[in-house]
Amino acid sequence: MKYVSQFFICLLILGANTLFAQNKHFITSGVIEFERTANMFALVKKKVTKHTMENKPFYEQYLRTEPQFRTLKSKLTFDNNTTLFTPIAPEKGVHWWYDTPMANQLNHVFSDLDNRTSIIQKEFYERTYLVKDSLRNIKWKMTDETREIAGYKCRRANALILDSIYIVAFYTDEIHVSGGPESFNGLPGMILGVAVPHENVTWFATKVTETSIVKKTLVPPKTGKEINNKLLKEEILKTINNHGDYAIVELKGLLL
Amino acid sequence: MNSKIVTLIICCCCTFTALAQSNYAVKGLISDTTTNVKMDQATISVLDARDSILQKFTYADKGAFNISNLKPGKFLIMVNYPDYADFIESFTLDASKPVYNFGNIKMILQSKLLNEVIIKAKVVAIKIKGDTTEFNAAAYATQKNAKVEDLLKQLQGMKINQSGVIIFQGEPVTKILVDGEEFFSDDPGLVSKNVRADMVSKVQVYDQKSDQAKLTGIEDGVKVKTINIVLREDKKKGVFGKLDGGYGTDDYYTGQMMFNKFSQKEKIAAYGNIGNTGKVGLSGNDNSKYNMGYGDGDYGGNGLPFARDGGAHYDSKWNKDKETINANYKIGALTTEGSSSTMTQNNLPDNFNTRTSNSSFQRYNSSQSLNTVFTSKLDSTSDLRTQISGNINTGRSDNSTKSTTLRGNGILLNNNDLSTSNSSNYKYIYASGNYTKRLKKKGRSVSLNASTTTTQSDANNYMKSELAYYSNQGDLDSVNRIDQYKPTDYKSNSISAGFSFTETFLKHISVTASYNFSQNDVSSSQLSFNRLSDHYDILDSAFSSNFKLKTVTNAYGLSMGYTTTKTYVNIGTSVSDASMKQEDQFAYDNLNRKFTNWNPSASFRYQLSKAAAVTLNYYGNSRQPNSSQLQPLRQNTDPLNIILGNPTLKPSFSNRLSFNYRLYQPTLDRGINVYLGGTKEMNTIVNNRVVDSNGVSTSQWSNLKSKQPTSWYANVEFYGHATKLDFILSLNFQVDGSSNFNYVNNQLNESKSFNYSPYINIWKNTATYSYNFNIGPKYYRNSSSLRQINNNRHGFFTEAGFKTKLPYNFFISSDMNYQYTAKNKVFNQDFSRVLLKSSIGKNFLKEENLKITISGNDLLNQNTGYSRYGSIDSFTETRNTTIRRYFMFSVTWDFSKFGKSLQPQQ
Repeated sequence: MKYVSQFFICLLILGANTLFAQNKHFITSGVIEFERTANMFALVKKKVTKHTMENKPFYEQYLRTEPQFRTLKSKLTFDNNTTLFTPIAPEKGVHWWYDTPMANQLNHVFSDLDNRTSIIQKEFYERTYLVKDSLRNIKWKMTDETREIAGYKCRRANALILDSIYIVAFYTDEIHVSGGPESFNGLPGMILGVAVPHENVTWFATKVTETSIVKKTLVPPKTGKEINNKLLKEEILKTINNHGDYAIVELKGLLL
Repeated sequence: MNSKIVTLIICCCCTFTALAQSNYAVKGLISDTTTNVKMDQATISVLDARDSILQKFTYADKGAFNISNLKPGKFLIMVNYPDYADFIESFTLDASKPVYNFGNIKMILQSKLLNEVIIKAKVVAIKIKGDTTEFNAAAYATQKNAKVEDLLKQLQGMKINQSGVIIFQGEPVTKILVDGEEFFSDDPGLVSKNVRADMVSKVQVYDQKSDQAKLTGIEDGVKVKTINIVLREDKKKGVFGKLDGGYGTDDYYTGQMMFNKFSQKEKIAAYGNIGNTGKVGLSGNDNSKYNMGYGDGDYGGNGLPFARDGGAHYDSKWNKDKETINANYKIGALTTEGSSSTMTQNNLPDNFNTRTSNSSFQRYNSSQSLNTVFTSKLDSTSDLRTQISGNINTGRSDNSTKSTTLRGNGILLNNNDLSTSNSSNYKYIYASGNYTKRLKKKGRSVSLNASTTTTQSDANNYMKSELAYYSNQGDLDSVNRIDQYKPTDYKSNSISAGFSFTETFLKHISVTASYNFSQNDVSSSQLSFNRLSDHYDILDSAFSSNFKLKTVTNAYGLSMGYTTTKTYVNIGTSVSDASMKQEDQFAYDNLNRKFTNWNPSASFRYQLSKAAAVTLNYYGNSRQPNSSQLQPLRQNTDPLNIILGNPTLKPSFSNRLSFNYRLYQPTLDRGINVYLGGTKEMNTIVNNRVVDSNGVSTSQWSNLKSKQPTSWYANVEFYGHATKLDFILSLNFQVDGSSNFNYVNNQLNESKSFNYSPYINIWKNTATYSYNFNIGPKYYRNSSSLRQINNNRHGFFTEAGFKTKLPYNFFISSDMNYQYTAKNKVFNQDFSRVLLKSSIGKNFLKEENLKITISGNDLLNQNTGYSRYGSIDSFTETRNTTIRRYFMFSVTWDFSKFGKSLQPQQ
């Protein structure tokens, strides 16, 4: 009945627009919950290359026995221009037959947006690195497409990262922090959605909570071997250089 | 020294470059348009004008911003603020203008902007323009293989009633065009069941003038509610159709075939139906004969029908679209068998009598019709349109009725045993031509028109009646027997010709003057022969007539229109003088009458805003009595109801006024429709009844001077999304009322009626499920001044339906219709009925276009064919044979294949 009466009242005052500009509240600190969805059918298929046809039965087995999508949760805590991206450990891992870097969340990312630096704790192949370097610099191409994510109106922007990976991001100008999940940043507002179409993975915010953040909880990760991006890439290349066609797939997954 | 100079130069250069770097900047101040409030924290982004790459961004500080450290070049500035429309503007930074100051940037609230301007990104469901309401099909979801009918049901203000009649804002839609062209047009049900919903881009609804008014240019006040289906560009070329067959319990069956081939220049369509469920094979013409509309409903619900029909359509354009042809052909036959029992209570001053009758009937009707329109652009300034249509109809019917009339005190009054057997033939041919020439001066045109109509019908009727009268004590008084052969023969020829001239003044004003002449020759004989031994050869002159009627009419019309983008005003008048000359071939008695008819009209439309319009129409017309009302003939086809003509009748004059207001808010997807209409009639022709002591009612027409009957109608609808569940809620209020007069046994009877029916309707459609729910009370007030008791009654109706997909491609749907009318002083029993039908089935194939369905009709078996009706001075209850519960198994195959898109969809 409440809605009905509202409906009528609105209709009766038609034509006369009585809305006034209100000073909108903008969020600068809080917690965002993200959900990362990977299309496992596509990711596992990438393990089957011309030179690794022996993996094909595994892929076919996967199609028959496992779900198509793997969903992982994570949390982004932000306060003014500092953000911390923390993955939440999944209940169920991926069997090593099918495992691939892109199926997992490898990074804890601390970003200082003012000073444009980041500290990333990266875990892979039973090793932990602490990558200290400048923020990833992304050239965003703005579009006029919008969609709603977690109740926020977001605008789409596209970019190429790591020379060749096409990404689509959606940001909202209602959260005045230029960050996002993982290492995505640099838009005029918080990134609430990212899709990496050719790598078959997406991040979407499921819930945004505005809250004040205790300084103690927003600290960079500490464990791991200190390294910078350039050296990290060399280390990775050293590990995977005998992986054949599949190496490039692994590289993308490890660096993203 | 040198080193000093070098240092200096370096310093200078550094300063210069540093200055140049930081010099390139953009600044401004952001505020709200209406309130001028500075907008703190607005987002300002600077993009490269070539590729939209983000260069820099900032958040405004109390409205002010300053973005520095830019490079020279061409840029875009984009300002965003939640709920406000984006501000985007280009600017250039170069050495001559390193700092660009936008000054005050005014932001507009999105809700405000959207109400004024229609934004492309959001699908706007409805546009209101003048008298046209346009629905964007993209805003409505339909299930796979849905038809136009499924789309129409969702449109705000559109209803499809139980008989399948499409009603828009309270008025029935009588024509559906496809891309502005006729496509089985007189049969809206056929188009809406045939054309696929996914082919439709837009649905436009408007009022058209009648064909006659379009031909002659003389306004006749007839508005033809028309739907125009605009097809999507990518669906204009292709093949689609449907095959459907079903068989059920009690030997019920249906078969349906539809085939269409569309291309840019040509449309070919054919259909065929056969069935005995009353749901297929009844085209508009057939149904309108039973006065019940068309389509999914029924043939009147009376009897058991067996229908088969088919038709074809062809239209084509050629010679650079200068010539077009549009042809429709239909053939059909309908056999109906049934019986009905009726109880009628006739109210007389101080008394009443009750007549009960039982009748059984068998009817057969077959018809063929062809309609062809050819248009040609003779040159760039002149058009020629010719139309030829024809119709052939044959029918047979056998009826037998037994009826008994009781006096109010329960004593037998009369007893009638009547059987009739008829066979008839009917032929109709119409041809018309219309030539329009646009003259050199813009807006000046001449149009010539001519038409001819020939109608021929003959019938052979046999009638046997035995009518027994009883005295006040209930003893047999007398018996009246009729055994007659009644051949009738009717021929009518009419020709008409005229011209109209249109001239435009001052750009916006156009004046049209028209003249039309018509002559109509009718010869009509209705003979009655009594039987002598085996032959019917004794003419009964009392019930025989043979006359010739010639009517010559001259009509003069003048109208003036004023049209701008917002306003449309049209004022017109027409005067016609008709002279009727009737020769009675038996009595050699001539009757000459002259009538002058005057028809003023005015209409006014105003576009209040992009999304609201008001319309006001007035139409006054003289109604000339028709020849059967004027005939001083006696008929004995129903010995208990005798109708007499009145040669002294004068035309009546009626005034009609209607008002319509429509508003739609695209941002909120909600709106209002208001329709008000009223009629007042002067010098009305009324039907007066005299019921004699034997219960025989004799009625005769006369003009009523002392009283003026009125009727009015109001329909108000609010619709919108009321809750987060996103269904459409529509609140409707309908009221109509009327007062009518006539004389019953020489006493003036006034009968008044008011009907109130508010109702709430909700519905939602998605690609996988849909539901609707409709509920409302009804209250009728109906009284007649001759009787103390009234026929006031209240009732209640509810309709609910759903349709949903289930896993494994199964689907289920169900529809329920409940009606309740409480008992009152006239009917001593409540009436309540639940009609429930359900179906379950499975879709096959990728496009879900093969469907197997098991459906049950009237699951509760409550469709007893009962109806009741209260009129001016009588109340009637009827029970008919009708289609009741049955189950059916059916297979449906929808096929479609469309060519490549010719133009990308927007």
